[in-house]
Amino acid sequence: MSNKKVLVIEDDADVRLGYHVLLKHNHYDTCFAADAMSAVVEARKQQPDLIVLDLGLPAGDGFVVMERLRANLQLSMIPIIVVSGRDMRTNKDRALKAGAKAFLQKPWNDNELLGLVACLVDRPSLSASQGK
Amino acid sequence: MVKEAQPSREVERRASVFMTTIAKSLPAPLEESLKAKQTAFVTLADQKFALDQLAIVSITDVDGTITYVNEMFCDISQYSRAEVIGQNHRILNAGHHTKEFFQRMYRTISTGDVWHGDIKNRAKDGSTYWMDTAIVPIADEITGKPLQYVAIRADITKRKQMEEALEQSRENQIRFKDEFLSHVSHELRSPLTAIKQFTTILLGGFAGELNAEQREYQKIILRNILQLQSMIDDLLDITRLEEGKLSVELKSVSVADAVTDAFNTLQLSATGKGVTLSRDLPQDLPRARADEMRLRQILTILLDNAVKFTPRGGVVTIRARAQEQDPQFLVLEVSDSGSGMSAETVGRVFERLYQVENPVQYSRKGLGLGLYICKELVMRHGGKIGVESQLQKGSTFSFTLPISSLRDVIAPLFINDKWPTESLSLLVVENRSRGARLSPLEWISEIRALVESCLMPNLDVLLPNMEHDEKAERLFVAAFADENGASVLANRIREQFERLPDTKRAGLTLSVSYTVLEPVLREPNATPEEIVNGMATNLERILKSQKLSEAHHE
Repeated sequence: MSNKKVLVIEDDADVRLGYHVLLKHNHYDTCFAADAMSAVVEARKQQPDLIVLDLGLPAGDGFVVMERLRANLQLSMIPIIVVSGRDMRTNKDRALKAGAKAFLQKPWNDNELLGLVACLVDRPSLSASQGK
Repeated sequence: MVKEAQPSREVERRASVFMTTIAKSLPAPLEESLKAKQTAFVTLADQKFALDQLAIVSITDVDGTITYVNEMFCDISQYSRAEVIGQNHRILNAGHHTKEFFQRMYRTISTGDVWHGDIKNRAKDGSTYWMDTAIVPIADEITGKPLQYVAIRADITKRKQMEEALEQSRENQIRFKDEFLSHVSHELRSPLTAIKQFTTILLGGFAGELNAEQREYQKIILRNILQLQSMIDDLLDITRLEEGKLSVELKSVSVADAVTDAFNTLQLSATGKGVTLSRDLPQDLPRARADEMRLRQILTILLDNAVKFTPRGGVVTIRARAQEQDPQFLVLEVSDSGSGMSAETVGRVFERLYQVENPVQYSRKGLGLGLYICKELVMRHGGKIGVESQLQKGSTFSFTLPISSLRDVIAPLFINDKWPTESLSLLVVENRSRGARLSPLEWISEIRALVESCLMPNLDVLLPNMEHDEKAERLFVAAFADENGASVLANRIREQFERLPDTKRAGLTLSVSYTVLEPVLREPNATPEEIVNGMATNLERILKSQKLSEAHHE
């Protein structure tokens, strides 16, 4: 069985590499986008099973990305985990409302992230539990 | 004395010369008396001359009509003497002060007391200036009633402008500091995220196995990252506090769950230090009205502190119970068998940036914000926090939280501005049974009484008990509308009920809009408390979904 693919949209190169190592070791394939513009292009090209999305991005922000993904029927089905350094209190509800399945505060807990990833890629149709 | 200061300096000089002439032709005793008066006159005239060089002077009669002004008055007000004499003093009013301000001033001077204060006046060309003003009432010697008012002023416009500029720049600085802190805290999270990521990658063995020593050092790095993370969170909380943005979202919360959570978070570090954590929670502990995340934060800060100040072999206990004096509140206590605090420390421990030396172990002091944040959070819950401590025996921090009640949950529904006030709205509280009747009648009246206590008099209408059928038992209907709408609404609803039998016969359902509360009861043996709690949860959900959809519309 081939690995599930995770698209990580994150502008910080170090953090991207960190995701790559963590996800690779947990048997996920990874692909990346570093800004809001290329995010949708990558999503279309790669057809990932899951998207991990930062909110603060160049050329738009995470909410713009979610809006564009939602506009495409096929892309709108991909589950999204928002991971952000922005204030959770003001952004969590907004992110969930915009279509994210979960919100994680940076710096996150790896086990929590991996749990969410596993849950969402295996059963994408199921609306997963919200992250803390 | 001041009364005699009215004549101009020239007049006074002449009077003095006149008296000298007269004195020469008078017998000795009279001459002496006149000489004294003459000296007094000259002194007075000199004083007035000196005053005029420095002060802005005007005199009005009791009605406020200007009878005298000096040169400096004319200079600053830009009016000539001829323009202001005979005018009411109000022509100088810049409209800056309140009516009450002037009323207070007149009350003071009309009773014969001197008034002193800063007044903003308007000059002839419309520009304004600030006067440090003393108004001295000159009273009739016999009746004691004021005859006129002498106002002596100094120009403090420059000082006032500087004060305003200072205040403005102070506000700007505070805003800048808050924005800066908030920005910095967010930006600090990015590199911290990368550091934490790679530390956990190394610890996870993803880059090759670590030996025991390497693992140990990585753990030290991770521990420090977590400390830094919590400091950044504290900094953000402080900025929110100062901006007035730190809010709590009050809900019905299980205190036992929050305690267990905080307990588990601290368990590891307590065990590592050889401190025993214990908890004492009654089975029937009521739910609190609190912000779940913030409650965990408060408990974590208190437990963390207690563990920090307790030596190896000590015990930290967390207790919760309903308060005896005030049954509306819960009390939560964190006590330790640590080093305790002096009376002076106890008095200052909740101050911002206050730090206590730890005699138990050398440890970093942290930012000195934890207990301050605790205090602010507890206050925002409507509770109180305090501490009792004895040196060498230990400390007990305790705080109160309001107990969650149906009233607290329902009340916002009725005063919520989300509900359309112009249209007529209804809330039908419905207990759906799947075939069976669920609540005994006395419970219905109990719940009804609860809702009744939440209604706004003259605005909300509570209808008589509605009937129940095999599908649903409607406990009550409450209506909220604007003032005019209330009576209209009451009539409408009454009509609806009169029509109910016809409606039913026609196989139709009741045609009023309503919000249904989903089944409250699943257990046939539920107690009234359980019904109330269940209803509270349902109402909360409705309120929350309303909030969410509203946020979405924005």
